[in-house]
Amino acid sequence: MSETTPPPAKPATPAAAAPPARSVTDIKRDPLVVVAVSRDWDAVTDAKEFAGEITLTVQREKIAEVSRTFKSEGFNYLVDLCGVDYSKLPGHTAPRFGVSYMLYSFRKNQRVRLRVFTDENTAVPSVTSVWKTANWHERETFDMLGIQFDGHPNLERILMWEGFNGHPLRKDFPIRGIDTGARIYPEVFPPGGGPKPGSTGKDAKDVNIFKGEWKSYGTWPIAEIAGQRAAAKTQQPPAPDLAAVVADTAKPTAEAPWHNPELALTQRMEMAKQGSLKDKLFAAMAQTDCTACGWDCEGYAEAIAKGETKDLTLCVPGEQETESMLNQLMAGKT
Amino acid sequence: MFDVHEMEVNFGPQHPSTHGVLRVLLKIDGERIIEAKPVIGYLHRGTEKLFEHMAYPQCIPHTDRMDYVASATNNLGFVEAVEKLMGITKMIPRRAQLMRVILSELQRISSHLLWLATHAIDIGAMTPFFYTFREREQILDLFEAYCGARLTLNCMRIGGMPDDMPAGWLDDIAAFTGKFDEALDEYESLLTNNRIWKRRTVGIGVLSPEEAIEWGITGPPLRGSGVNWDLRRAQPYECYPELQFEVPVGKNGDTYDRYLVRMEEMRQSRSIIDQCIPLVKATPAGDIKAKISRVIRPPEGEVYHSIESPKGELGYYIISDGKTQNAYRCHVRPPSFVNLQALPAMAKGHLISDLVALIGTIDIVLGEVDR
Repeated sequence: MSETTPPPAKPATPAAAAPPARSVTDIKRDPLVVVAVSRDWDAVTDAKEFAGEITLTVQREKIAEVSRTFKSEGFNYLVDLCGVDYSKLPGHTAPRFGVSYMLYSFRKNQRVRLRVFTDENTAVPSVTSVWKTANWHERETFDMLGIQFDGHPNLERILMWEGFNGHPLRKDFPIRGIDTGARIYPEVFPPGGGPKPGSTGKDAKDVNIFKGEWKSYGTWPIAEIAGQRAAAKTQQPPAPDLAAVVADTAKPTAEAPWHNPELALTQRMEMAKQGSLKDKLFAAMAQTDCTACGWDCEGYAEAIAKGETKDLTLCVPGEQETESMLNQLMAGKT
Repeated sequence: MFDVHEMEVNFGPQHPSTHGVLRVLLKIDGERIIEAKPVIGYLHRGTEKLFEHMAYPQCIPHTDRMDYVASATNNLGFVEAVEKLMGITKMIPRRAQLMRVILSELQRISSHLLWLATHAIDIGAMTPFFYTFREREQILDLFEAYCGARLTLNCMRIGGMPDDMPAGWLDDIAAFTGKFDEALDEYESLLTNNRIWKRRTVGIGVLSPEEAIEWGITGPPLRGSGVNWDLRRAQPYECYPELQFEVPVGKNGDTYDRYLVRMEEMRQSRSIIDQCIPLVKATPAGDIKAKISRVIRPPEGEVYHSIESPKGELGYYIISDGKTQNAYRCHVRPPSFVNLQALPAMAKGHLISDLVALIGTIDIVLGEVDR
């Protein structure tokens, strides 16, 4: 079975050909949810529909009662419960956190999603009294995002350890992690962990290892190690957010209108028809500026054009079609 | 606090029958369990956090590492969720759909074989381990022939499949499935009517259907309790509507019924694969990817999509902000995590050695519980 090269892809419009969006009232009147919603019509403040899924935004104080109503209307299986930190979502104005409840009805074979919004300090009524399965889900949501649940029998951390300082899925929690020594032995370590400022390393209390282990290790050059660590920390730049970098740089310009990753190869080559060899090579790249080849797309094209590299296989996202186009272009030159 | 007879012991995290790094805090009276409290998180790697920081295609290898004995179904759930988000579910070529079904059914068999081996070895039957690993090895060889990896397959892409099938692959699968029923009979001859096996599993960890739904249990444990619910049937995806298969259902909801359900599921998976082979041969070679933009940038919105993984309902909840190439939030609904929650209720009043059988029968993978 030989690999046949598919014809150049026409960029598909990502959004499905959706029917005109229904109004909030229409969604609330959907036969799936209307009985449950009409028990307390005002408790549902907003309704959305996307990809055939209905999301109902519920008043925070009423979520337990609304859940109970939905359960009695057949949604007896709580599939999932999770929190979302909306603080970095552009255009989001409601309180910072959302909690989503995925419900399923065996009788109707349908799903529905409830949602409440809350902030750091306001607790959400727990639904553990409605579904037993909510117990661990709510604990996880508390652990990962710090959302409080009112009426939960045992709201403690579940994945992180007791005493961990922070909530990892909050958007302001660094992806590199944090120094975690601090809270476990507060009498030994200052908050924030790490050596105390100005410590000599002579005293066990100065450093970030367990008290009892100090003697057996003898004299470690702790101050030195701590200094190296601190230096290493300041030298390392934060890891770039690859997708954000791509979104920022891969934009078409007046000189390079083909520098748009959503165009197909044929369209890009058409735009660069009048250009120099470098321009044509540039247009043949995948245009994502992913730097997998060691340059951005323009840099790689320039390197090939100047003869700095003879390897035409380096464009990873471009796959076969970029490689064969580069081969054609270079064959035409010589 | 404690009665004079009661004591508290740690079961795990370093215990061979906890299938990884599960720790169960037990309050026991002699051999009898008064209270069991699972402590998890030893394998937490922050997968959901990582998903927020990488482009959608880069997430697929990370899904492998959640349920690491069933990576194909993990891939399937993720790519389908993203496809639903982009609205391209209908554009997936038929050949790719059939290949996905074949791979995930092979994965279901391999996951169940591993479950059977470890479950039996926990209870004290050593032999099934050697038998099942003989067949599992063949499945892993088939995976290796397709994608080069045996465990973390990374074998699906958003919009289709990474590669077409290698020459002769379907014949190798047919050769495997042709002999597989015989192998299953062999395992059953070791266990199904074995008196010791029955003494250890019948009536252990009984879950009523109502209780199972209350705890959110899915997959074979739910069907073992007599609820006829399989996502491949209830909310079908890919080519499942046109395939013939039965959903095995238990009666008593005990460990023995869950064992029977999984054994029958393997037979059904074998039959699904056999049905797929002629269908996939009829599709044009190379038609394995939908024509979509190379840059995956779904519109603004949120979807929840779930599939029937070997362990139960595996769901992905993805929120896209419509501007970047990475998910704003990607939550995984792991079946093992939810199923494990019922362990205290199931274990109460049983002996410590039954706890081992119960952990086996829930079929947890800690990589998925902790993510």
